[in-house]
This record gives sequence, C-alpha cells and structure tokens, in this order.
Amino acid sequence: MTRWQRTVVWLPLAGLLAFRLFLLAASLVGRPPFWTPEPLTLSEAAAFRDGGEVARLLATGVDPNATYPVRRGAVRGRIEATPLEAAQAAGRDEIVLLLRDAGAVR
Amino acid sequence: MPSERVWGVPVATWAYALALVTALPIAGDLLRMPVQVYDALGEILDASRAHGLADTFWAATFNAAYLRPFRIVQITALFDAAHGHYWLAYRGFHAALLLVVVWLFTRALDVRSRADLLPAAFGLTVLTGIHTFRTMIQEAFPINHFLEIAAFVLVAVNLCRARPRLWRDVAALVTFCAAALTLESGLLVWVTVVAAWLAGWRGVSARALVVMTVLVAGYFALRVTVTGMPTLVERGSGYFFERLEPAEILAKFGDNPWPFRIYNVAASALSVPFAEPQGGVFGFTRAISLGDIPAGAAIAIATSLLTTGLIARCAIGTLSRTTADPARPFVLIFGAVLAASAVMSYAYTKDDIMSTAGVCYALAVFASVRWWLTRSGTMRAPARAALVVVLAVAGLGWSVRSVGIHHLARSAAFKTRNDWAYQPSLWKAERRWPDAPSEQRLLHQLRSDALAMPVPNPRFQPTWMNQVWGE
Repeated sequence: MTRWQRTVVWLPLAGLLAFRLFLLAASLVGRPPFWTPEPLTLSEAAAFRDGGEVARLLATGVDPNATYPVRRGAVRGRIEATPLEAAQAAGRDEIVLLLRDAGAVR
Repeated sequence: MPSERVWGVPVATWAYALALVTALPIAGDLLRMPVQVYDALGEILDASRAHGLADTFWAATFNAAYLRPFRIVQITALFDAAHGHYWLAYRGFHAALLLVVVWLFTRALDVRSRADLLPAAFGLTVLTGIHTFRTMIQEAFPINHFLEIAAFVLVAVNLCRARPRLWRDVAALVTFCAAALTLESGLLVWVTVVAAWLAGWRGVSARALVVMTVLVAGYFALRVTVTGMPTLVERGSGYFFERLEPAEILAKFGDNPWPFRIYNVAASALSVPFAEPQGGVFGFTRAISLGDIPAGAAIAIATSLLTTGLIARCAIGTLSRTTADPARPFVLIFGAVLAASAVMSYAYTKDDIMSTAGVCYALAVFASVRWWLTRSGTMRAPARAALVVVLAVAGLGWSVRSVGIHHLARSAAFKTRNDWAYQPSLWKAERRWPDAPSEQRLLHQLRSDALAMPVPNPRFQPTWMNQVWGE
C-alpha cells in the first residue's frame, strides 16, 4: 500500500482520536461537550420531562408554587408558567406527582 | 521480536497511547453517571444487610436459576469498601474496569511493528463502536459484570499467547473460576483457552486445559443439582419483529420451547457480525418494510457487513493454510466465543450476553485488517484501491459509531437521574420502601448523590444524534 493510500485509511481513525483528545482537553477546562447542562427554571425542567432536575431544584428549596419564565416552545403560547402548569401541559404525570409531593397546588 | 520505533518511541507505547486516548473519555463519561436504580438498588440494599463475604458467597450459591456467588460478593465487597462513598466506589470501579479491558485488549494485539498500528487503531474503534459495547457502558447492576467477563476473557487471551509457564496455568484456572462464578458467560474463558490452544497458542498448557475442562464438568453438575437452569418465563425476549413478555413466550412456546430456543441462538449469532437483529428484534428489517430507514441502523449494518466481509475472507485464507498465520488464533477465538455466546442465549436474547463476542469481534477485525494490509503488497493496483476504499469507508463508519458511546452514556445518565427522582414515591406506592432507618438513609444518600450530578437534558441536543446513535 502506498503512503497516501495508508493516509486515506488512517484519516477517519485519526479524526476520531483527535476528537477524543478534544473531549479530554475540554473536560480538563471544565466544559465537557457532551456533559454541559443548560440551566433550567423549575417550570422548564417540568416541561422538558427532566424529573431529576425538578427533584434537585425542589431539594434546594425552590418554591414549587411560584411562576417562572419558560423559553419559547416549552409551554405552548406561554413565556412564564408555574411548574405544575408546565408539567400538566407536557402531560408528565410523574412530574405532577413529584411537584404535588413537594407542596405544589397551582 | 523487539518493538519497532516511531519518532524514537516503541510502537507498543504508541498503541497504548491510542488505547488511553480511546478509553479515558469513556471512563470520564462513566464518572458522570449516577448509580443505576433498576437491577442495582436491590443488590445494594442486600449488600448493606450482608454479614460478611463468606456468608454472602454461600447464600448466593443456592439460587433458583443462577450460579453467580462471586457477583454478589463483589457488590458486597465494594459496598463495604465504599465507606459511604457509594457512587465513587461503584462508578469508579466501572471506569477502572473499562480502562483495564481496553489495556488488556491492546496488550492482546501485541503491537510490535509500525504496520500494526493502523489495525490496532481499527480494532480499538470497533471495540468501542460495536452495539454490544453500549450495554457495557450504559448499564451497571451496580457493577457491569459483562465488562468483567470481557476482562476475564482478555486475560485468558493474553495468557494463551505468551510462553508457557506454570504460573500462567494457575492464573488461567483462577481466572476461569472467578469468571464462571460471576456469570454463566464466564464459561467463555474455557472456550477461549480451547480455541487458542487449537490455533497454536500454548501459553496455557494442555494439562491446565484438562483441569479446566474438569471444572467445566463440575460447574454443569452444580447447575443441575444445586441451582437449576433458567426457565421460559425468566425474562422477556425479542422474536423476529416484536418483543415478547414472559407470559407471551409461555403462551406461544410453553408446549414446545425448541423453536424459540433455536431462534434465540440463531438471532444472537447473527447480531454481532451483522448488527441485526439487536436484542432479538429485526428492527432494521422492520423499518425497511415500513419505508423508514434509521440512519444509525443503516450505518451499523453497512460497516458491520464490510468488516465481517474482511474477517470472512481472512478466515478462509488463514484457516485453509497449513502453516501458522498470526490471524488464525484471533479468528478462531472470535468464532468460538460467538458460537458459545449464541448457545448461552438459548433462554432469551440479550445484547449483554453477546458483549464478549463483540470484544472478540474487534480482535478479529484487528487481525483481518493486518492480514489484508500484508496482502496488499502483492495486489494489483485496482484491487488495492478497492481495499483502500473499503477500509476508509469502514473506518469512517465505525468512527461515527464509536463517537456515539458518549451520547449513549449521557442518555443513560439522564434516564437514571430521572429514575432516582421518582424512586421514593414509586417504592412507597409499591410498598417496597424499607422500614429500617439505616436503609432509608442509604436510599436518600444515593438519591441525593444522583440528583446533584449535572446531567444535560437531551431536549437541547440536535435531533440527528438520536437518529444516528439511538437513545
């Protein structure tokens, strides 16, 4: 096999290795590409079926009955909503239960 | 043969560097995943109730369907060693195990020449890209025992390919015992040693092989007399285009289970070399019939067909020769482990059971790519150009599959974190919430650890990721 033919075969594998080196470097500087979460309000977490984030925010003392801003598309036609409204609009019964357990009533 | 050097560094060191670059980001993914809830939480609670490792071992030996005492002992030992840092103990062990598997894999390749580096990079890419590898990363019960079995088999491969020594015989027997008492798939250590011996690797002696064979017979005697075998209703399983639940399997095959068992063996044997069916379900075939071809499945099947074609031609070439060929042991070991894993899947199809065969597939890819590169020197220009195209396309496809493991790890982390969010109310509703305050504290701590982990919501990832790599 000629040198350039070997290079052609190496190319995708070298690309993968370079990508993994980038992942390592990005992790070292605290911005791992696959693992950087988008900050969410409690209502957004409820709308985006993120039970883990809902539970985490509730555990930190976030008010389950307050109204929070929601990004476009999270709750149809709304720019803010209560977590319960967001979970009900998304049809997430398990998150509704989680919120009610934490004292959400509206 | 001494190792060649590239830029003054031995090529073996370069191979380990490739392995490290491959494994470290995946190990990093594992350290960002919470401890699993399903199939793990019960085991952790059992570990918290255990009275010493010896008692745990004997209690786990007498089980209705399985003989896996070493599995339970490991979970208990890690729990005891954790001293409250359960996530670190279980996920740290998972990450360390992954690094060990990739190191053993690279060691088994025995890279000594510059020409071996390309096949080694190919093998590592296939190892981390094959669909059976995802179960080794996405799941842990709370230890991923299938990853352990792969490690045991790779230990056996390394022992077999070395020079014969008494300590290697002893190590092979200890490895077999540990593997067989961890999972049924541990018997693959014996299969590997037999295949390696037949292929001419004599690092483990015939005497040790005989002793190991006697131990295999003893294992089956124990299974028949003490524990019993899995029944039809053990768990759900794929069947052609659908997934059958235990009750459906019983209704369909209760009178005559053999068609179901034969299907399971055949489907499992096909799944590693062709990436279809997966979990016993011909998902891609069904998608074609519906006119909706998923990109990820198409890439998986196309790349698997290419590399399986390379292995098949290499196997014909190397097995038909009377003289020894360095590719032969790898190809034989893959064939033997694939066949044995498929037979072990007779009760139900599960990608996990085929995961060690997936590791051996990557070994066979390494050997066959090296075989083809060696032959390429005597090929005509058009044939050589065709080989370059096949290797480049396969390399590109497998690289895409390999990157997917990071996406799949993140998806698993998201699901697991959500499972933890709902876990207390679920167990309370099912009346499974423990009464003991110490166990309640343990559950609360595991839940808090899981919720505190920053896991991104898949909602914000591009939709093509799920199409290419799945969920």
